Amino acid sequence: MDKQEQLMKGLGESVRRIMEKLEGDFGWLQEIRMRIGAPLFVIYRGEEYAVTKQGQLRKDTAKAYRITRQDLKETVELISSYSMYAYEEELRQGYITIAGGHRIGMAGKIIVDGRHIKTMRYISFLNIRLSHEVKGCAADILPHILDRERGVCQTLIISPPRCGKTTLLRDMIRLLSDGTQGFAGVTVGVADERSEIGACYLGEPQNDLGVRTDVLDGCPKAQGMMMLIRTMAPQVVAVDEIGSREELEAMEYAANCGCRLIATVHGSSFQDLLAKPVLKKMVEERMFDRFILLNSRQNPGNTYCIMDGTGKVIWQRRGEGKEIGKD
Amino acid sequence: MEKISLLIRVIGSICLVGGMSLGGILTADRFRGRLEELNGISRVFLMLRGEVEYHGLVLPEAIRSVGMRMDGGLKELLMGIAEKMEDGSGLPFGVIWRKALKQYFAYSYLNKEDQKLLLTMGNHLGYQDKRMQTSSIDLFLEEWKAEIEHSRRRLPGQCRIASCLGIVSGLLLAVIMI
Repeated sequence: MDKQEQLMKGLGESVRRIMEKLEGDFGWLQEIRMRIGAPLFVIYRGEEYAVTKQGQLRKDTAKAYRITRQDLKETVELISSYSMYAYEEELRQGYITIAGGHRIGMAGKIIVDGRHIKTMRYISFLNIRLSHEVKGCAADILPHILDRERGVCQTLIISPPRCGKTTLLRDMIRLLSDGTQGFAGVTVGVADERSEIGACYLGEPQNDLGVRTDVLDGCPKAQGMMMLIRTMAPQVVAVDEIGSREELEAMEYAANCGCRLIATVHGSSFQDLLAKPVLKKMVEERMFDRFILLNSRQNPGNTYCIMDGTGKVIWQRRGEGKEIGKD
Repeated sequence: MEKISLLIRVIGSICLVGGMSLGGILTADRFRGRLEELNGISRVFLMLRGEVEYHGLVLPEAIRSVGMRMDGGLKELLMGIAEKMEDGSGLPFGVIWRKALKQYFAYSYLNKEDQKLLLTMGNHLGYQDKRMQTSSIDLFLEEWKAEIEHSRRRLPGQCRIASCLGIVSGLLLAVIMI
């Protein structure tokens, strides 16, 4: 069963029928947004469109299909395998991952217990983010993060949201794990706090992360990195969206243990890093050997430039790059 | 000739009394069967509640697990529902539940009221959080247990009436015939 089929099985009947008729290439579909009483929206090739009952993509919402409460109820039932109660932990985080690695963000009535979120009821808003594997999108970058002396360079991917940093990280993990021509694969440990990298479903990665990769799914990054180092002895540790002080400490610990790190962070420039105290410290301490900057919403994962540990550009893409936002 | 005619009438009357008595006994058996079935369904929901509350199994697995511990029609019903949920048909739980129960009711002792109550559970399973889910099952079980209690109290009387009515009506018809 392919990822499209797996996603379709999670949609309520009316929405499923519309999505089956959707015009365009399903591979370019990035998000499906459902809100009770509102039009059915999709993000297609980085642009938002309303979807009509006939599956046409429109910029205006006049003829768009309106989501009903029944659509939401059915979709919630199906994506949770008829068992919303079994996803209480995930609900507290606001999302669940389904077979195929698609991530479903949810919003509704939050039930709090003191200061803690207990659960979520009356789910009325869904954001289905489609899992995309773009195999080979890191192939051009890989030679720049491999060093004869040091092996894999400590690498930080800097990117604004929706530019494909996780997609790029995933492929880098796969290539490092499987190995490429002239590079034998290494053991990679992934601390996948939000199940975005491996998109694990029942503990099994739905995305190809390579043959030498171990994944700690749903584990806080700082603790996950420590656990991986103690238990799985990875040569490379990969994490997504770093930023807290604990994570910095865990990364320092990993680096001192001889592990190489590959991480991502939100930002649109090298200067953005220096504006964040924790990351500034990492940069000043030369924790990273390479910075990869992404900036293309049209072509997620498209690399703009690669810098060395001092911020000096060592490689830059000129003109339009290869389109890699498509399966 | 008269003797033969009398003999036929006697045999006919015996058959009639026997048949009507058997009808009464079967009706009484139906009442007992309903109570047994009510108890069986109550057990199903108690076990289902446990699977949801303590084991945190997803509903198809929980229903399958309960089904494996039952037997007869209930086992068939639950296994069928679990299979339908797992086959990826994309049908809402309410639809699967309704379809399976409609087939099950054809061979069941449950009366219309019981069937109605059981059908409503299709709207309350599958999409709620743990607390709401267990509360829905609890509410159902309370109503169901009240029905069991009511049925248990009435059962001896109902069985007696059904059996007696069968015999008496058989005798009455036999007298009329003779």
